[in-house]
Amino acid sequence: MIEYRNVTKVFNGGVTALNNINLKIKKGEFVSIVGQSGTGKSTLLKLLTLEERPTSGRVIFYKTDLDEISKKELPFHRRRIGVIFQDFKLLLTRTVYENVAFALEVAGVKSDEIKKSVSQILNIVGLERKLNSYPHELSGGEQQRVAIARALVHHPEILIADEPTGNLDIINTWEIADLLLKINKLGTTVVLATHDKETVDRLGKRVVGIDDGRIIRDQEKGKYMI
Amino acid sequence: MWKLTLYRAVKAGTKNFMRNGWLSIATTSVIALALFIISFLLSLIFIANLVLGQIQDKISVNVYFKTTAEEKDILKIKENLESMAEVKRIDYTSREMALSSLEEKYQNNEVIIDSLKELKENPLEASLSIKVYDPDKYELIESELLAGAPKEYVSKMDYSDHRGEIDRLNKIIKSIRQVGTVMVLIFVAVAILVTFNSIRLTIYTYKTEVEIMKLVGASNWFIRLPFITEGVLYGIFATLVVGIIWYPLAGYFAPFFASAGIQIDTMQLLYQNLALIIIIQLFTGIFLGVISSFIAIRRYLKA
Repeated sequence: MIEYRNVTKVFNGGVTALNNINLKIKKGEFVSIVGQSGTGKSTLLKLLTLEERPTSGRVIFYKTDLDEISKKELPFHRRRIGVIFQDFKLLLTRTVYENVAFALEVAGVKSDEIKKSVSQILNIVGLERKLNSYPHELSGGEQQRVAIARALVHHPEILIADEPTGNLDIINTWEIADLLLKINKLGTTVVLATHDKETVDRLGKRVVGIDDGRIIRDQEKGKYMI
Repeated sequence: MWKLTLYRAVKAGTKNFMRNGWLSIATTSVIALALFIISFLLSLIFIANLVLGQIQDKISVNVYFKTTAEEKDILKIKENLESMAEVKRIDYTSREMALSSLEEKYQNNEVIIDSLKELKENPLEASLSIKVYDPDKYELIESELLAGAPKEYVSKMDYSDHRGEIDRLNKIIKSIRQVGTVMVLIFVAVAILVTFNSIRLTIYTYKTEVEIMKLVGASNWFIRLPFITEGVLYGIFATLVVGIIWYPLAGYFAPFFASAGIQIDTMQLLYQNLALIIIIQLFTGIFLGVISSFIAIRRYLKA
């Protein structure tokens, strides 16, 4: 379980991104964090990957207090999380296969195991025929699916999706949303940050609304409302 | 596990090196240029030392002894001087040897040979030719010599004739060594800066890549090693390039030295020191590549 306890984040410039956040996310849950741009959604997620650390308060990640994770342990912590972004963040000089395999290589997994896991996950995201393509040869939706495959291939406890459909058209957006639901059904916790109303309404899952760094709404089977 | 990591890092580094094409060529060229300048300056100092050594070797103090001096006394003086640490070598020329070498030298000149025959006694003086390690020490030899040998024995010392030249030579040797060392140090510093800068540019193109590596949980060493591998490759290829230029260059300079009357065979020097040169260049090249990569990647690894 993930828990934010009285978390406040103030950036160096004096901007308060998060203001006394209290939030619990259960194992296997699908949570959409919604709100306008610049309301603190990304900051909330970056506290989990430890790209940012809270100014005050604590973040508990599956019984680990994230404050106690040292610089040395950081890579190991990140291997417990899968992340996808609006701009996909694929390695452009590597093929689909290499991009996905990379997440396992950093963990020192043996080559034959990598081969097995990668083809398995590419089957799930429906890219088994594009193994040897480079990112620029794929559509936006396909690139995001590669990113999802990479985020999931090492079986993380949680998948964090930061505006994953921001760069996609409506059809691709729905495909990605369906894929996230499928992944959630297979047992992975999914936390989705988005300001895309239609996607959120279509999902019919828990919705947490954020405005100006505060949680203003938290509903099971919610809709996008500000 | 570290073996697998190392293997993957080396593989990734090699792949990056190949994929980057012209960027790799540019960086390799910069390192090669730096390596070339450093090698050139070091060789210049090395050869200058050899040349000066040869000239120094030709300089000696000749002490001539009056014909009345006994040979055993002269040899005793020689022995005395030889025991000094500063003395490199002393050649003794007896009166007979001086005469025979004179006769040999002018064997075709009848006037001189005839006039020599008319003299009843050998007019030539025995002499000691003294060489020292450090030209600065000739004065010490002089005082030691005059202390050990009675003044009436010594007829002439042509040290004073060379004093000016020895002094001048000394100054030249010192300034070449000093200027050369300073130049090498400056160029090494410049080379590191330029190499560092071009590798930093290379790594800048990997900024997103490093960010992604960190996000999927790559350790700092896993990220660093491919870049260090690239650094090693730059060094190896730069050494190859310099080696290819170096060989014909040594051949080109060989006749130049010969015509200047300096007995230095650059080709022979190259062959004799080939292993050493390759090791030094390879080490310097790899050092430049690796240290620059290491520093350049550092700022991207701060979590």
